[in-house]
Parts: sequence; structure tokens; C-alpha cells
Amino acid sequence: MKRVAVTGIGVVSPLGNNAADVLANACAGRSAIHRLEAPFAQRLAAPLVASAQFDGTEHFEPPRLRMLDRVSQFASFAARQALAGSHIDLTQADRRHIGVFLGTGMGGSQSSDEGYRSLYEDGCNRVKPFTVLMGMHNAPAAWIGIDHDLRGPNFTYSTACSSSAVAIGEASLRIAHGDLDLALAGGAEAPLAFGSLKAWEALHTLATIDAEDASASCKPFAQDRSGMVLGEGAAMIVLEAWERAVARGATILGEIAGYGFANDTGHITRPSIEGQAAAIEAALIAAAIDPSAIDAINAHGTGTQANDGVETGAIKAVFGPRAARIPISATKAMHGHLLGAAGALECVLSLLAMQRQVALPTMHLRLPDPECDLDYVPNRVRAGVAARTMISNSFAFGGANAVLVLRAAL
Amino acid sequence: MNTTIDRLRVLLVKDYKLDPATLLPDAPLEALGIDSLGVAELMFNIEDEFKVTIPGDPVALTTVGDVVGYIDDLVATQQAGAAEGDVAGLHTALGR
Repeated sequence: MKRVAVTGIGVVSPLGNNAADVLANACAGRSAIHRLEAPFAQRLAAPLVASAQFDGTEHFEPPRLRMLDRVSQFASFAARQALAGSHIDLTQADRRHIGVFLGTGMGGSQSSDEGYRSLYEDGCNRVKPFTVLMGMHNAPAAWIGIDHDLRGPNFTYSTACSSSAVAIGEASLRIAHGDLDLALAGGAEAPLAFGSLKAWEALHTLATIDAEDASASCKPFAQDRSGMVLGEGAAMIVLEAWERAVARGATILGEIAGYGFANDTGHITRPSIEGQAAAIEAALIAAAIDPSAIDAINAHGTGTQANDGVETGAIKAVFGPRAARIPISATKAMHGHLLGAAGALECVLSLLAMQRQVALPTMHLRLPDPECDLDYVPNRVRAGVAARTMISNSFAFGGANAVLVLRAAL
Repeated sequence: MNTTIDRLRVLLVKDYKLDPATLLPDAPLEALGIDSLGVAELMFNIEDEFKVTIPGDPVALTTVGDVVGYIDDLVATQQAGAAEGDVAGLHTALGR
């Protein structure tokens, strides 16, 4: 098995559209969550979102842009950025051995939403000819392949909120096994259309608006947590075998050291300590490390009543008494829940935090919950945390629990 | 009154950001960046602009001039049909 190096990072997110901005804003504890300003906002119980400041017209030519749902715009831009950062010379690469592994929970839902609206609300008897191409889940990965002529496996994973953690994990296995020279892996999500927001609202998982500060509405692990806030964006990373990266003189940004997956079969939405703990344990086994090697944790930490208590229990189940001494960051309080892109964005944030030797803050944790009694790095970034190895948790509806073991570059 | 090619040019300049000077009758659509999918979308927009219904039958259009000819044929056929329909409707309304 080969070690898997991360040699490029690309990101579009509510916290910024490049790694430096995202890290700076996360360290500063800036929340990108805001009230939604849209004509339909008044029809939402709690019109809150975390949107990316991203204008596709600045990055794509009109004929291409017309075929790209917002989710594909995010993915293409993030992939472009990751490849540029890796300084790979694609002209010298065997493109049959370069793969794209992308996770998305809702695909091109804005295009589908628009198509339905024109049919059902406007009474049109036709939809735009590109509706299928823009709405299909594999469009973001397909466009990345087309953009860079990448002819290897081009796979889309849709396991709800763990989609991109799964995508990165599965890609890392291909690199570790020597099946591929290079992989672009990550996820993209653009769920801020009216139909999607209403569907999530109906599940009663979304946060209510904090009366004093709307940006503080998502409160992972706090007693007064009321739910999550939907966010949008993409994160893509370049993966390659460690020795290959070293040989070409690449800057190594970190390592995917393990990936574990455990399916939770008890309920379609209700998480379980057993399922989450099983995924963490599987990841540690894959990385061939003892739980004592984990220095910090990026929590799934959605801010829902159901997840945060169970996740605390799962961390305790795996790490025992030492759980209380591991810094745990829940960054969704700042960037919202990017659903299928969440695992990838949080993987990137974790790698950047280790590089900077900080533990990122879990914001808006003012009221501790007796059930959530671990060290969540509340409200302020913690400097001087020399974490060498982290896990990043991604747990999903459907029971798809995925965990990545991440190692700092040395 | 604008000719068909003038109106088509406006559409192509707006949606594809093309240089109007390149939109000559013999300009190949592929060379303008409009492939078969682009033609499908163009037909959608032509329906709106020219108030015609594109039939389901496939049709080979390779140049700007082909599209202009196709639009002119549709307009001639469908607006003539609509006019006949109007007359028939009027006759019905009058009880004839």
C-alpha cells in the first residue's frame, strides 16, 4: 500500500474561495451564516443560509456557463484551483490514470427546481433543453473530466452528508493500491434553491433564527442548539502517491492516512453511537493506528439535537477517558452544512488547521449541554495545537458513516 | 422591420456573446461554438423569439443561413396555419 499525499487544494465556500481566506476566516471565528435575501424567503420558517460569494460569469465563457448548474460551477472552479496549486504538468501525464471522485448529495438541484417551477408554477409545457444535463448528479465530475481531459475513472458518490468524505476515501484507496497516478477528489453542493430549502425545512432539522445574531444561529454541541443551516460550495483535493509527489518535488499539504465506513442500519435518519463509532474504528484500523494517535477531531457537529449528542457518545466509545482531552472542532457553525460537500471542505479545513498548528473554534457554544461534555474548542481558535493526526467525521442520512484519518505533512 | 437574420443575430450575441460580424449566412454553427446541444437550446430560444413551435422531427442545420431558412419556413407555415385557424374560428363564432 502506498501513502497518499495531498498536493493541491481548491475551494469555493461561504468562508472564501481559496484556502488562505477560508483558514483566516475560520481562525477568526467568522460566521458566514446570514438571513436569506430572496423573494421566496418570506415563505421559509427560518430563512437562513451560508452562501458562497461566487459569480460564475467571472470564471466561465457564456456557452459553457449556460450548461453548468451552480454545483458544477463550484466543482469546476475548485478542481481548476486544486490542479493549479499542485503544479502538475498534465501534458506529461498519462490521463488514463487520472481519476475524478466527487461527492454530492443533491446534484444539480437548482436546475431541477427551475424546471419544475416552469412546468408546475408558470404553466410552461416545456423545460430548458439542458435541464437533464444540468441536474444529473454526475455532471460536476463529468465537467472536471472534460475540462482537463482526465480519462480515468469518473465517479460520483451520493451518500447524503458523507458523500465527499466517501469520494476522498474511495479515491485514496485507488491511489494507495497503485491503480491510479493521480486523483481529483472532493465534493460540491448548491442546495440553496427554494424547493430544496423547503424540503429540508419539512424535516425539522434546520436551525431557528437566533434573535440577537442571525449569524450565530447554528450552535453545535450547545444546549440551545436548534439545528443546522444549509451552505453551498465545493472542495477538491489532488491526491497522489507520496513517493511520486516527492519525486516530482511537489509541496505536500498533508496525507490521507485512512478511511473507514460503517453503514448504520437502524433508521433512515436517526444516528447511532454504534454506527458512528464503528466508522471511526474502521478508519483507525485502515490507518493502522491506535486511538491514542489521534490528536484532534473535526466533528460532523451539525448543530442538531440528534447528531451532536450521539457523536459525543461515539467519540467517548472509541477514545475512552482520553476523549475529554482531544480538541474537537465543529466548523459548520461558521460555514453551514454543505451536505455532500461538507466532508471535503472539513477535510481541507483540518489539513490547513494542522499546518497552522491550531484547533479551529466551535462557535456559538455559550450554553454547554451536560450531554455534550467534551472539549469542543468553544468560541475561540486555539493556537499552539501541534496536531499530527486528526480524524474528520462525516455522518449521513441513510446511515452512511464515513471517517477520514488525516495526517499533517512533515 | 428587422429581418430574420437580424433577430437571430441579436439572440446569438445575447446568449453566446458572439461577435455580430461573424454571424454571416455561411458561417458554420460548429465554428461559432454551437454544437448539436447548442442547436437544441437555440431552438428553444427561437420558439420564444419567433413565436413558433419547433416540430419534433430532427433537422440538419449546419450554418447560420440554414437556421434562418428554417425559421422562415416555420413562420410561413405556422403563421399561415394560424391565420387560417383564425378565419375558421371566426366562421365558427359567426355560426357559419
